[in-house]
Amino acid sequence: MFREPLLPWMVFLPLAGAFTVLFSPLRETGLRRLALLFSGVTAVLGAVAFAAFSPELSGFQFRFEQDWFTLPGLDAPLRLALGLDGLSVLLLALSAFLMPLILVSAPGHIRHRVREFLFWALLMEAGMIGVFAATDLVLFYFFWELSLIPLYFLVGIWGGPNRIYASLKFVLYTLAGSLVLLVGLIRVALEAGTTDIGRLIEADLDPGLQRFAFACFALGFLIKVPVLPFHTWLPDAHVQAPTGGSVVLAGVMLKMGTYGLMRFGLQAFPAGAVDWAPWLLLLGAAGIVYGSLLAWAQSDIKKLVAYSSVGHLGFVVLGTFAGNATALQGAVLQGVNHGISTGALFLLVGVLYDRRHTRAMDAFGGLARTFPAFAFLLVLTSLASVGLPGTNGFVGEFLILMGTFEQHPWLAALAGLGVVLGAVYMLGLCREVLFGPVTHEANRRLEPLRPREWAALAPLAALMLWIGLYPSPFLERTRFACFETAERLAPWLERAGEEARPPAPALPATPEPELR
Amino acid sequence: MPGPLTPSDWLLAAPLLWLAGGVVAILVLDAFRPAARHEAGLAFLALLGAAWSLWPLAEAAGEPLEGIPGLPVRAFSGMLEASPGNAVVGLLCLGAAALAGILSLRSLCRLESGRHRTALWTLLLVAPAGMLVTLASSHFATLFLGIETLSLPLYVLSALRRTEEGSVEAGLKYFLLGAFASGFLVFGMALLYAGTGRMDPGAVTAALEGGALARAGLGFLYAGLLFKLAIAPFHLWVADVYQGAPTPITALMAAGTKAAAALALLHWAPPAGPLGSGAWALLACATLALANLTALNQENLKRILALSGVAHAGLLLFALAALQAAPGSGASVEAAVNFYLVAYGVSALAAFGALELLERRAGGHAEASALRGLGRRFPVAGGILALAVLSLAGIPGTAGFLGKYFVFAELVRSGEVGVALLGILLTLWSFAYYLRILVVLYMKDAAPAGGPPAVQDTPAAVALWVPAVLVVLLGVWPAPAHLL
Amino acid sequence: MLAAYAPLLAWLVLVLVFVTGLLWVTDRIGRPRPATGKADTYECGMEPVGDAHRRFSVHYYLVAVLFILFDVEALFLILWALQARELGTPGLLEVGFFLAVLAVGWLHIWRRGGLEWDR
Repeated sequence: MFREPLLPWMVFLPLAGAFTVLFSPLRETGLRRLALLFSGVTAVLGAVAFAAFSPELSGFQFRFEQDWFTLPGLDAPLRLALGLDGLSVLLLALSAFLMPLILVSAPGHIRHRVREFLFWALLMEAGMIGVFAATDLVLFYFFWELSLIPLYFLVGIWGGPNRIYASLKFVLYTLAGSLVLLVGLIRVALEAGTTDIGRLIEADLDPGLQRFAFACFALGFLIKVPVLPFHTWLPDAHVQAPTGGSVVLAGVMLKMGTYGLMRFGLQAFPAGAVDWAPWLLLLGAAGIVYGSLLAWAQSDIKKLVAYSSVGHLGFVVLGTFAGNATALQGAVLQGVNHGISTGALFLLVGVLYDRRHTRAMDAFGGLARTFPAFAFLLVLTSLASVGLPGTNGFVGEFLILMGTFEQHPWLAALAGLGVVLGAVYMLGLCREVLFGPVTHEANRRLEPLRPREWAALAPLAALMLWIGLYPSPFLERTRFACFETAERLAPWLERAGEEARPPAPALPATPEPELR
Repeated sequence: MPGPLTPSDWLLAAPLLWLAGGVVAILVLDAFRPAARHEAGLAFLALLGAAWSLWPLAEAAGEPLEGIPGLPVRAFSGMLEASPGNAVVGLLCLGAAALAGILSLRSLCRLESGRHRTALWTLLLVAPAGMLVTLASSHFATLFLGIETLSLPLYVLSALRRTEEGSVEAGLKYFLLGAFASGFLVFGMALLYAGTGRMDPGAVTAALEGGALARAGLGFLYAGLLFKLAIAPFHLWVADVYQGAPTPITALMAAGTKAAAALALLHWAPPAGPLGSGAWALLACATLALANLTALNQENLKRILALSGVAHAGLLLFALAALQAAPGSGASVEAAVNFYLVAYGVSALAAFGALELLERRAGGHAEASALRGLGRRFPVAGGILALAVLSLAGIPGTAGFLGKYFVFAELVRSGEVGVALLGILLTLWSFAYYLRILVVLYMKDAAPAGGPPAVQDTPAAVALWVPAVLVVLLGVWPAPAHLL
Repeated sequence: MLAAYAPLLAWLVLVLVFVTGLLWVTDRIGRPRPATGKADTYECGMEPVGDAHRRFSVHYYLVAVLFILFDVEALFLILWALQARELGTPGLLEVGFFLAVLAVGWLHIWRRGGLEWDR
């Protein structure tokens, strides 16, 4: 059976690849191919995991368990425990899928210290996959931090002029959260006597402990997402990071935060989640509007995309804490969508930057005529980002808004305003960059898209359309987990004295009729 | 009342005898055959012998103490007392001396045409002997003897580069302040004895119930110990001494002295009582805050690492706070402290060792400006330094993380969650300067090579792998370390 | 117990008051009359010759330190001598071992020229 060793291999391969690259005698091109081979095989394994994931099963699949060592104060040894469920399977596949694309596109912007770049990139991939696959709390924390340090180096070495400041800020912010998370982790481990995530979820911990743990964990995750007051590291990190770093950051790193909120915030500490949910919903909705307004005001394309992330992730947070399965399912999917479309946007910004070495919006104009392939991809990605029906963004946002509306109509209205604002700035970006007269001579002679750029962008574009037109393979895989999570939340919602609503039934596996 | 030595006397005396025997052998050899260069070989033999004789005790680490009769081992009518975990820390001290020796082979040994060889190697044996006595001391006499035996060699070794102002300053500063601290220590012992009539750790308990005289003695005793451990406000000497001393010696001080002093403090810590956990937690927070604040603004990597050592000592005090808050947690707190000391020790050894190699390439400078970009030019030394720094910072996957985890776990278990939150946020501060080291190593363009080309130092480069591998091994698979 | 020290405290206060008072009174009622003689190192009339910073050979200090070292070690012998009969042969062997270790140190110093203080 391939099911048990699948996840360990997905973590191990990039790790092995990282060290193979570090010590390999190969030169630059050979190294790139070697790294691509490792991450490519991992991506194939990710696709296998996605395809072989059974939507009807509850709990973790592809389980792998191996005793590790015993922490004092716990009754059972820590385990190297890996597994997938509906909350994690999409994100795991996305992480594995994005890295080869980044490596393919890397020669455009990473021209020096290639060996180190590939080492850190692969190490980060191992960390990211591990975060989504770990079913042991301590193991989760290991991978959580393992993915942080490589990104620090990626931004710090290959980033823009202000890279050292940006990378330091990014690490300090994130660490502040994860250190608080660590205290929560220690207390949960000691009081629950286990670090197995499955058992923690089943354990029905003491509500007081849940509230404390939720506060600690959520702080770590909210900074990572980042949610409104903690978001200031994100634009700095995004703008300074090299294209590949931005793609990973937007595509996967931020999802680690939303994933953590769902896995721990909702599943393990529902009492805390219910207590804090009103505030988080407010923050999420505020983030949508605030991020969109800020994005609107930017003249640097990359900054615009970075701030748009704040808005998009506001949607995810909104969906996560809306309290029903529909919104949650939307949140899971929207996380993936954001990874795809924002990742593609950053790649497109990288395409421009590699050619013109500027990201100022007014340095471009009329590219639709001189650079049509780029224009096509940018329009498609923008529409996906805005959430036009037929693209992936629509499915996620629609589910979130629908689910939120049932519980909190006013917040849904506020978020709807955010959708409009999103259209304003994204379409504004397209107008400035793609249409109108060609204002700069350099823009007439832009080199057409290279094969490797196509290779990085085309799969993302295909995914946007796939999820947009036929989302059911994605939705059905998340359905069960979201339904169960919402069910777990329901008694706490009732107990909180809110108007008790039965959790809305999850969407049928078939897509919405209007999507067709 | 002298009697025949018992087996447990021999067990604890054997490592000391090996080290002392090594010293005597080196002195005799040097007296009659000064031209023969056997000092290093003899010293390593003595260190190996000491480690070998300590091994049987260390091997029992990790087992529940109640299960094994005769543990912890008490020797010399209870003047020395050591648990298996202590023995592991003892092994760390021996290893630190060995690494300092290996790092010195191509540098300090050749200073002034090798004039100080004998001094170097004998003192490198005496210092760990002092550490072993200190960390097992359970009597005023052994405590004082141990502390003096470990300090005096280090005073001299710090000043070994006697033509360099910084080194002489380090030696003198360490000596004067250290003598002052020893004075405090002895005075405290005298007052405690006067107040309680006891010279064993029971004196601490008695003093807490006793009069003002004994309590004052307790204060002096802790002042002396905290000086050696470099806890605020007694930490001001650390940066200057660590910076001025030759780097191999700094490594020994950081790993060994700290471990010995910390275990001594743990032995002499008051049982849960009127002192409460607040005092220790306050000291710990103050130390962390002051050390981190000072380190932020340093230009010299040795000073940064020195202050990081101060911060780590402060973190250790949280374990004492936990012990105070939850009486009866002695065994697990001791296990946490032992692990922490070993984790910090191997990280500090790797860090200072790698820094020594890089320093030589930079013409003997440890300033950030001189070391710019050297991580890329010398990937092995740079990589080991980066790894060690990540471990000192406490990133998972390294020994430092688990050390931090255990200490904070003790704190949380004792119910001091608020203190744990405050403490862990204070450690966040330290990342700013740890990351700065990484910035210097990897994110700046290389400085032009300065100074004479460094001698190729294969033994040191090979030996550095040992702490580096341990940093990772203890971080991902600590079970074989027998400490848990 | 500390009450026993009360007279000491009183004496200390008295001394401080008396000395500071004396200095203060002198300052108030005295008239300073500076003179060259008063600035001399020795007012008794002795003429200081040469620099006060005389240099001694460092070997001198070395020998002095070594003397103190071995002198202190002799203390241990006294302790042993007081109990020599009771300690018997084992005690003799032990003190012999102690002396042998000392002798090694002394031998080393001697062979390495530490005792040649006039070199």
